[in-house]
Amino acid sequence: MKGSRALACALLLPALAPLLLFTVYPALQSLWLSFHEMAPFSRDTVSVGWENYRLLWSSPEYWHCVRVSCLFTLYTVIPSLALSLGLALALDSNPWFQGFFRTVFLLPVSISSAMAAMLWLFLYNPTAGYLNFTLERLGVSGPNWLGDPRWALVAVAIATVWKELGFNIIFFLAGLSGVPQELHEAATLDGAGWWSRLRHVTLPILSPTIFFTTVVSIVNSFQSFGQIHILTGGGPAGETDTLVYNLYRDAFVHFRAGYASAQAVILFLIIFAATAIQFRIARSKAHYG
Amino acid sequence: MDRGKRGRAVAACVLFLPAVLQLFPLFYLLCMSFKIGGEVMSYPPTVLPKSLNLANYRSALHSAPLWRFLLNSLFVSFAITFLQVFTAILAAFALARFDFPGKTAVFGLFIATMLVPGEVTIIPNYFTLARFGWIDSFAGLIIPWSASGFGVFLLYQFFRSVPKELEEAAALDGASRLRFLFQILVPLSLPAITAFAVYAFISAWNQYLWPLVVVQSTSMQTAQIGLGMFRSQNESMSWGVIMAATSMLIAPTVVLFVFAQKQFVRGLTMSGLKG
Amino acid sequence: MKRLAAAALLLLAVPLRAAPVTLEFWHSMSGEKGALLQSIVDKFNAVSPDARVELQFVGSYEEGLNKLRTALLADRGPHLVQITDIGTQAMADSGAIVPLQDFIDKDPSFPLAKILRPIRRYYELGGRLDSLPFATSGPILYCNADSFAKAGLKAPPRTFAELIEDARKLTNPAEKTTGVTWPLHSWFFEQFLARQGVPFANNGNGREARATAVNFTSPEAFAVVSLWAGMVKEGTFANVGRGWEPAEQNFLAGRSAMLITSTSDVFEVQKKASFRVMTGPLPTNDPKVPGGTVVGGNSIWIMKNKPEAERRAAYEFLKFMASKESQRAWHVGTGYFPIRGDVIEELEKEGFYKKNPAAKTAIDQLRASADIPATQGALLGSFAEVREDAESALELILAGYRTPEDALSWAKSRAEDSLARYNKAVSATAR
Repeated sequence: MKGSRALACALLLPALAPLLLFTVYPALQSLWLSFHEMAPFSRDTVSVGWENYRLLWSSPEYWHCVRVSCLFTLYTVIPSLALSLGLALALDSNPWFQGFFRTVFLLPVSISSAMAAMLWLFLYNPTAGYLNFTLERLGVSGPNWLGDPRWALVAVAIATVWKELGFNIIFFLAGLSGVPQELHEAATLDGAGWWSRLRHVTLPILSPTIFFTTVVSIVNSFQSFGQIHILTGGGPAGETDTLVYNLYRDAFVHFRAGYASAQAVILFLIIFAATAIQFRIARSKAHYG
Repeated sequence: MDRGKRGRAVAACVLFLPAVLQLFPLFYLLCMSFKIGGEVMSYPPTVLPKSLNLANYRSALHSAPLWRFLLNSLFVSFAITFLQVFTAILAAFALARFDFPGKTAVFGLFIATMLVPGEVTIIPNYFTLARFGWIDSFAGLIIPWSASGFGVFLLYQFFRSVPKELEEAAALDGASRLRFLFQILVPLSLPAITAFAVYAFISAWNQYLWPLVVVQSTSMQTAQIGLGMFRSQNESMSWGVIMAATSMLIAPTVVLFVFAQKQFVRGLTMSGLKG
Repeated sequence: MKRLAAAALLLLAVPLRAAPVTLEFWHSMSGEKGALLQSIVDKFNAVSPDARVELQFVGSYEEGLNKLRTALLADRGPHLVQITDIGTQAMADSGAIVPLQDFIDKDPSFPLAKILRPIRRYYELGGRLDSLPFATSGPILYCNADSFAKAGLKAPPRTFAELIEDARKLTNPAEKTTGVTWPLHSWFFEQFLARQGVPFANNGNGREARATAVNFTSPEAFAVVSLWAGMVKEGTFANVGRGWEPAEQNFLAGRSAMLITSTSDVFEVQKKASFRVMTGPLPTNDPKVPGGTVVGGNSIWIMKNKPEAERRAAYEFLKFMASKESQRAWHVGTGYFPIRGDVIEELEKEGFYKKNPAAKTAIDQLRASADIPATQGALLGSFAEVREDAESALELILAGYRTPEDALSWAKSRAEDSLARYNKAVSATAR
């Protein structure tokens, strides 16, 4: 028994050590830093108490970032989930050229968000962008996607959905393959149509996958960085300035380490709370599936 | 039978338009990479290039060590993937199959690390690396990411689902616990491990902010950062060249993924993710 | 003891002599400008036996500054670094640099007197030149002469009123062309203010004492904003957003007939344009009010955390960069103006500006600028943040989200908060 305890420790150590050193320790240090402020161009710190948190609380710009983050999550998670679920269902019903279609949808997954953003940067180009040109030919005058405060967040969301879609499709395909064929056949024999089979057989069985994918999508969208950095840099007028992006700017552009750390702590609390709530819901519904 | 055929046709039709939309940006990128000079920015814009001119590819390769960026990225991503998979297997095994005091706390710790946004850790980690002398080195790019709370969690879920009796039977045979892990549990969990490996690889490949901060010399740049630099360096010259560079940096993972996707989907299907 | 030290020094000096020191130089010159910089550096490396300069491109000005600050936190970084004009105050406060003036004081052969007065007025802090201005520029108006001819226009507009009028004539909705464009960048806001003779910040543009307030709500600021937003509303201005490239692309693609941007692209634009290009000075509201443009661009700094011998070598390199040959090569290759008056005189004699009148536009404009604090340019510690605030306000106004009064006073208070914070932090940690 003692030997097995030692073995357990040895097995845990390789994973635990780097996580403690490079995730837990810096997280705690961020907590400490959030009560301090760093001088420009040096590592000297001055204790400021709750000042950073007070500043954040009373900053309309920070609340604006909260709003932008929530909107961005809304704009990316809902379309992405709906589209990927629909496409996964279509793929799962064994269409012609199934392999081809699947490859096409999964392709953007293999491209990094930074590179995907480069593609979209060009499609959105106000002078020669193909998107607006196409819209023009359809008789619609397209906005200046990345420069117009009304559209920039939508534009970033479109690029994000394009890239993330495949990822969710994979999860849904995985989930769908877990739906027993017999159930479908039985339901068909009972005279159930496509829609009622979807509602009463497929979706209930799929619900854990939907839940999982939702959690992953929300957390991912809250932490989006690369595409915002390349497409808009948080602008125009802060309309794409998410919590994470604002944190990055305060830390590495304005070099206000303490202020940025306070934001980091808040971000952690938000993500923690969101995940906890989701797990609560999942547990209460666990008996369902 | 007829019904099935009709269903398949309907599904294919439904998929057609989204597939075109999904593919178009990549196709457009490829076309752009062949366009020379004013052709890129001409108005009205065109899709197809006038000719399949490779000049942009030549000047892209000439103006930046793209192969070096690519190799750096591949090396870093594979190293991170290997380390994360390896450490996750060991830790998940300990959590799923051992009893020890504080197990819940340790498990909670792993879960908690999943929730710490990467941006939170960057400033203090940078100082830690500076102390180790790891700034601008492969160690600095790899070691901080050598373990993943998500990986531990995922494999833990899977290991737990393997019947206990299997190990008891193995133990009766006198097999040690480690041999059981590597000879029975790991092969059995290969789909889940593969799925996690692909996930880890994609995340590592995607890394942006951390390399941006840690890398300081050109020769250490990863593909993502290198491309960003390449863009700001060549923006005033030609977007065709930038698109050629992007195509070259995208190609390896796209090819890799086309071949690996079956494994990946299968891996996820068979892992605990289905519910 | 002394002898021991001497012996140690000798030991240290031997390897230094054997192998030339390598000086790392971080810069932000992209594309052909980067290539030209490399060729100037190559010349230095060829004539200098003891030092070799290695260039490293570190992205845009903003990215370069961030990268430097990040490197300094780990006590790393280059020997030499090129920093954008607005980083001047922060660099001077950083404690991480060696003032160029320290070397100049000991070296009478440094061509300080040759450096153009407006450039010295910008880069000198309290009469001391802490860094070497290298690539200096100003905003000018580029016109598509073919479109001008078609619209029956002859000369570039000189005033806001003319600009509005010409932009209307040059706009053609059927062909999807607009009259004018320039990047959404605070630089244009700053330049238009100076052109009207108004300093950007208080306390003599931050030069008599640290600036604590910005002039965002002056009547001149409203004049700039109403010019800009008015043309956007009329559809005669193409608002292509942030970044330097989109506006230039728009102009080069023939979709906007006028472009305001830096003179540093003057040769590039002329080379790439498929039409004739005409240039003019930055328009102003009332030509009778004295004003001018502010010297933009960047300067090169020597970093402190290197051995004395390497810093000296870095200074020698800067002296080379300030030489007539280097400055001439840089000016005729890019469009940035030279920092030395003798280069301009020389080129004038050779008839260079007869052949390239566009290259002279910015120089004439700079010479015509009034000698007032407004044209000296602002020194602000948190200039990068102040710019973000100004740009956000401009975006809000152009999009019609907020009224100019509302947005500008919001940006003003934000900017002043960041100035106060910076000033406080600097005085708290003053060494």
